[in-house]
Amino acid sequence: MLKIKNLYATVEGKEILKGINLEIQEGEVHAIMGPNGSGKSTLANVLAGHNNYKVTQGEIIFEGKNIFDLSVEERAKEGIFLAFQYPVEIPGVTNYSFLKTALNEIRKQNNLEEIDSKEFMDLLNKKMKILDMDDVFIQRSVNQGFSGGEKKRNEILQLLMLEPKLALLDETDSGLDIDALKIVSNGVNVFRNKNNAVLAVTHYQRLLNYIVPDFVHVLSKGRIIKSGGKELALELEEKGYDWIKG
Amino acid sequence: MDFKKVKDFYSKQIAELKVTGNSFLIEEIKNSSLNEFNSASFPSTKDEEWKYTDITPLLQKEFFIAKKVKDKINIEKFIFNNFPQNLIVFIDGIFSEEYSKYEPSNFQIKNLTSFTNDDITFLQDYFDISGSKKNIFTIMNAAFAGEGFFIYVPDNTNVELPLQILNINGYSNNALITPRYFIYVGKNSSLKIISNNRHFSDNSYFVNNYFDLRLARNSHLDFYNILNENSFSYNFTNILMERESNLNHFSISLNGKFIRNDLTAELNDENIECNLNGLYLSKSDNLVDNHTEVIHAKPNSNSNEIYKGILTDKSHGVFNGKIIVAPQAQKTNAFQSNRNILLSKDAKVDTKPQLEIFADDVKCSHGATVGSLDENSKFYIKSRGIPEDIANKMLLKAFACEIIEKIEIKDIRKYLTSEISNLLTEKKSLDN
Ligand SMILES: Nc1ncnc2c1ncn2[C@@H]1O[C@H](COP(=O)(O)OP(=O)(O)O)[C@@H](O)[C@H]1O
Ligand SMILES: [Mg+2]
Repeated sequence: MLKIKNLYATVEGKEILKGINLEIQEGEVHAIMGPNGSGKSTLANVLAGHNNYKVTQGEIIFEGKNIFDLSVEERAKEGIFLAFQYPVEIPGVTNYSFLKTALNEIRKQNNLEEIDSKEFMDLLNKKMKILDMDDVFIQRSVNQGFSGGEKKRNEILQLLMLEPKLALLDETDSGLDIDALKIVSNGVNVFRNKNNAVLAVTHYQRLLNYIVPDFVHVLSKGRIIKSGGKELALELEEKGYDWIKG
Repeated sequence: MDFKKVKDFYSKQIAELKVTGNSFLIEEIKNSSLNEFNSASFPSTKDEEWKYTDITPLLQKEFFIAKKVKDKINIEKFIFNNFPQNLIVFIDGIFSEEYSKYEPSNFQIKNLTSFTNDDITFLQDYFDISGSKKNIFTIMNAAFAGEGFFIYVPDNTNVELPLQILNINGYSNNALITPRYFIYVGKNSSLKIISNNRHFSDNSYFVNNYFDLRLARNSHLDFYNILNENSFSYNFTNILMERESNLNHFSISLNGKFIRNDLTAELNDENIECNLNGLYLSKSDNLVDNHTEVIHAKPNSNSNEIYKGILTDKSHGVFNGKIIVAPQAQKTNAFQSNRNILLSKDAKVDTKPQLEIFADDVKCSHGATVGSLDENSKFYIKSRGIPEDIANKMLLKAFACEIIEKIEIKDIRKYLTSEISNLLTEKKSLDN
């Protein structure tokens, strides 16, 4: 599904990613772990197409296609979704209209008609139930005044509604208490199937107890310096990052 | 530019003006205003108050008092319609009986032309604004004031229905439009007014509006001044507030080649709440200039001013917000903010707070920003598959919502939201 080959990227002239190689197949969950500042969010943003980040070398092949020339929204329509570390507040735009607009754009891409309101509400209610979200969220402005945990839940709600092929999760566990973490993780697990994939970027091992990865990669200074199975996450938790450095 | 010639042109028009009212007082007002007009002068950009706003384009054209329109015109499309209300219609500044529908049961609406000499004290008070507030435009308005309305709410009266004043401008070419409104809200009373200013055509015209808003003790006024003009528009708003009164003022400038809004609010007693909300949009090479002045004369009152602008193409915005806190006005809370979004690299805004605070125990804050749409927010929206143009609309909506969500009338909220969307659609230059 995703093939990252020798990827170099800069932000504001500073080189952050220095030759990333990574391959993700359908049905897999990959975790990228690494200390603060190692470039995890940068990788997620580069994949989603943020134009502050410039790819200087290498390529990203998604579903057999080089996505270098695709804009952010085109990548989203192709099926790449980024759950943000810091979701943005959009006052005056309700969750309802935001989600409906987004869903219809993605349906348009897949040659589907606009969803009718009833069908949309049924879908939304179903997904909100999975995340134990209150009805009031439908009419609230996107993320405005939401607590950290509510914002993260809202990200996963969008994930469940838009059903992308590849979900990039950037520190989805940060700011969550244990109950919220379980709910959010469950949301991600509901999303998972054999045709899609998850790339979870995280500082801590905690999330990976609930979203169990098939592969764990350690990112340090813009490079993947070690890859392994889910046990690697536990090892990192125990020993910290220092033991692999050098 | 020969300012003298322009003055002579209007001076002659005033002198030849036939006063329509029953009152010889109006004749007197006309004559004294004419004298004042003759000794006043048009401001230039050397004037501090007009530093960024060049009125030469206005003076290069000649405008004439319009005649009453005889043709049937379709006014429906201009009206905010979806609620019961009273409606007063002016076409090119001339009151139109046939389109107006009002049944003031518990308040009075009176046309200036229907005043008689018995109303002398009232009229004198109305025209006698203090010298420092007069400028050549307000003098001109008084001199030409053949048309105007008094809206008078007696004490202890809640006027439930909003009153819509619809001004349809530019029906005839080169119209000079000078209505004057006096609005008085009595003690413990409340009123809602929508001043809805629209253009009929692409004709050029000059509107010179004068609003006098007086709030008696413990009264409440919601006032919306909505400008969707096409040509030149000058608006003077004079606000006087008494003890415990409460004002929600909305200055909404959606379109116009040249818009200058001068607003002055005097908080003359304690426990007053004065909320000044502004939203302005500008495109092509238009100008929109807001000059506001809030005067805290007594202790324990609050003023809260938020003006927001969205500018595109080569348009130019000006904001000048003055706050004066008198020495005895302790425990004043005065807040001011002016935020601007520029949608193109050629648009610009000059913004300036002007604080004159003579009391020591006060809370005053102000802030001004000029920027573009937040890239990170745009990224967020687009990352959900939403295209650039819709993302921009959402972000403008988000920017304006601080003002829009305070508006109680749904029709107006919808109208403003769609005008903001239109601004993006019509945006001429598609640069970054
Ligand atoms: N927009 C940006 N502007 C400047 N520097 C940035 C920007 N985004 C990230 N960086 C820098 O790139 C490096 C990696 O950051 P990031 O990808 O956020 O790391 P992580 O998510 O692993 O903590 C850091 O040194 C950070 O300061
Ligand atoms: Mg990060």
